Amino acid sequence: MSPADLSIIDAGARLRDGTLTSVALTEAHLARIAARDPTLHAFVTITAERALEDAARADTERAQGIDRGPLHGIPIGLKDLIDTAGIRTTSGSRVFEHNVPTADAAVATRLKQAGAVLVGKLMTYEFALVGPSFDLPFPAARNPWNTDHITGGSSSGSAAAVAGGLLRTTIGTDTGGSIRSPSSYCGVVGLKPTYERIPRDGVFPLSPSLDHVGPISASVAEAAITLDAIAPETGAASRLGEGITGRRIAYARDWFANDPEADPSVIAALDAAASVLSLLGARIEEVTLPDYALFEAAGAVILQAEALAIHAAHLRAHPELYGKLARQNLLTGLVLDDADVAFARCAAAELAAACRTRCLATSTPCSPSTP
Amino acid sequence: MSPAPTLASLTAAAKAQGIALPKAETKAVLAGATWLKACVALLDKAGLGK
Repeated sequence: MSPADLSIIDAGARLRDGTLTSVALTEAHLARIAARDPTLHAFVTITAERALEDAARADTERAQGIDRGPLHGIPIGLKDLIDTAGIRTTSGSRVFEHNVPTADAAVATRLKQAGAVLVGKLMTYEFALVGPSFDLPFPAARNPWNTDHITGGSSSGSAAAVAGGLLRTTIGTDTGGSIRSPSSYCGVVGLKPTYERIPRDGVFPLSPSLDHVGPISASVAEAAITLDAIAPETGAASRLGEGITGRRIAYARDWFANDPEADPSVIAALDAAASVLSLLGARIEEVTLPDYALFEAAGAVILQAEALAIHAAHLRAHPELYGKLARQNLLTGLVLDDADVAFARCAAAELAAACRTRCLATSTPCSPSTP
Repeated sequence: MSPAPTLASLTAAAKAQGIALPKAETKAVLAGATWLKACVALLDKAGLGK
């Protein structure tokens, strides 16, 4: 068994008992990346040399009795929208093809403080907008389960890297589903934290009102460990294994069950999941929420207006540097006026309030990611 | 609510912002823009955003 197949928990135990070094673990992941990434295209940039230096530092620190926590010496990857000092950060676009930030994003700093070993930057749909695109300087990431299939997006490289066994944990971003969707398509664990739980400084924005940073990982436990590193106040890992007896689950079944486009097998899987949660002691409460299309509509108007505002200057100066899909997507926002956007923000606030009053304030929601 | 976009209104909006609208992409952009305006209309029809 390659050390690259060890969970973060098992690798951490072996790092602590001295039967594995961070250098050996990082080498195993780099070997896996060298073997599989030419097919999967999860990585935009691989930082092998720097990773091995960081791994050696982690080994030295551990030998000195310094333990930075569960990610100390563990290889990770970051979506390529997240600034990394001295390491190219492209946002998946020709616009920033040669962009090398001078400072780390806040989330990169926190992972560094936790002792994580950055092995590279991971593919994203161009500016997290739309994809996959095939007119960019970087090939689109492929779904490890079937490389003819897409990964979902926009955190495409993050999900492909985890599903393909290249890494155990990564960081992605989610504005309209960009952690949840690729995690679902690739069969890994995605965690979209509460808005503003994770600082977004140094993360190239798509739509600041809707942007979230969070883990895409191989298991719930590894997502919790990663969340703790970037949001230490959550204490997520310490709550692993807690029972769910009495926990209220708001099951929004009819959000999609009556949607003719929803795959019946997804609804069946959701019913099965709700049954398991019930058997484990949770209280399943079926809730009726406002029509899903309303949430999608309000989100789309806000997202497209904010995205166009962010990209307007670049679109004026160098429209040819954008891939076709991203450019077309951004230009749709031209027809929105201030009144449309203000209206959508009010609608979004009303929809959020409706969710809170229909018990989501005190419950954990249960719904499919990709119906 | 503002009306559904037309090629003329889309072109005017692009010109006002000083952003080029590639001719070959106009149809795709107009389709997306029309959907966005339909989103606004949907919210209005549902009685939201008042």
